[in-house]
Amino acid sequence: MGSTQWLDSYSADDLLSDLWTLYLMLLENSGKNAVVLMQWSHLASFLEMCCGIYFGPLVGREGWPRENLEEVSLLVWMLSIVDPQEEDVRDTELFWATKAALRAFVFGAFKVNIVNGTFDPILMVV
Amino acid sequence: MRTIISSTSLKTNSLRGAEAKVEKQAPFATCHLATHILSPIPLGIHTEMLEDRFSHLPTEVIQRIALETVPLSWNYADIRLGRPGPPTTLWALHLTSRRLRDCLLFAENPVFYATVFERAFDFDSVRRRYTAWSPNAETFSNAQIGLGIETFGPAAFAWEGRKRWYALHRVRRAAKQWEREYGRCKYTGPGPLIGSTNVFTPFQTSVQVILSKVGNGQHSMARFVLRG
Repeated sequence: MGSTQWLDSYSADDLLSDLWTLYLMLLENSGKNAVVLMQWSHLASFLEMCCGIYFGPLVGREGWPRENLEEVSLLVWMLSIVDPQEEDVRDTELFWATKAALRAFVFGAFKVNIVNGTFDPILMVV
Repeated sequence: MRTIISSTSLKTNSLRGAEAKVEKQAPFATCHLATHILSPIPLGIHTEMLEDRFSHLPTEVIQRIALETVPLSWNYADIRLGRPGPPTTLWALHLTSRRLRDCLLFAENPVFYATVFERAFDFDSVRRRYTAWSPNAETFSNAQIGLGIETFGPAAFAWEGRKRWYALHRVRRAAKQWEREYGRCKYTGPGPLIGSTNVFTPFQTSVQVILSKVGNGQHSMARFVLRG
């Protein structure tokens, strides 16, 4: 599902703040931001790296995506903006695993508590 | 330090008269006050600085020259002119001379670094965001206050650009480390970006328009929905 060696020199705070920066840059794109992100900063590779972390072997385990919900949500938003296709990614299995993991956000969005932004286990009865 | 400089330069310049110096500097310093004659600082420093024509340029001109070395990120048809990247050339320029250091120091030239930010990134949404997030944004329009009541000023954009370049540098470093093993993703190639600014599908563009850039700003999404 991909190497995580790059995480050794990347602290969690840096990763979260960088995901926020990238998300805002993509949201405010009028042409220039996309050039910087795609050509200089290698954003597509970075998205696939993050998918390997948050949508790879973690999916289906206990606590997903309740832990790292902020990072996963930002990643979902960025994936919805960039919209990579199957022929664009390196790892096709990871692509379909990501597609499968997105069902949790499509069909399980009502389980997210809007007040505090967490997955609420009480609402899972509904 | 000052005494050393003045003594050495006074030795060289002691033979020339003050009138000769005034004549020499006249074509470059006509619009400035002749403070070098009246100032208590020894004359040698000023005569030494007057030898340099570049240092006599106004700060705005020097900054304009330095701005030409900053990489662009245009997405026009001729993409060769737009080489996106961080403004690393400013560091080398900043190390060249004292005058350039004064003109390019980050803490003292926020307007210049806001210009660098404007050159590299999309500027309008950031300005709108800062304006829309200010607490008094409902009482004024964006046309009246460009940068918001809470004076963020050009320093906010300078710091925003600095934060972005640091973040992008981290992302690029991690991505290159990952790509050394797996190869680069195909989507990063310049193919779909040449000749079009639109990298999104129409649906995503409409969502993006609703979210980020409708009208005059403040609670634009609600207004957009209510207007129908």
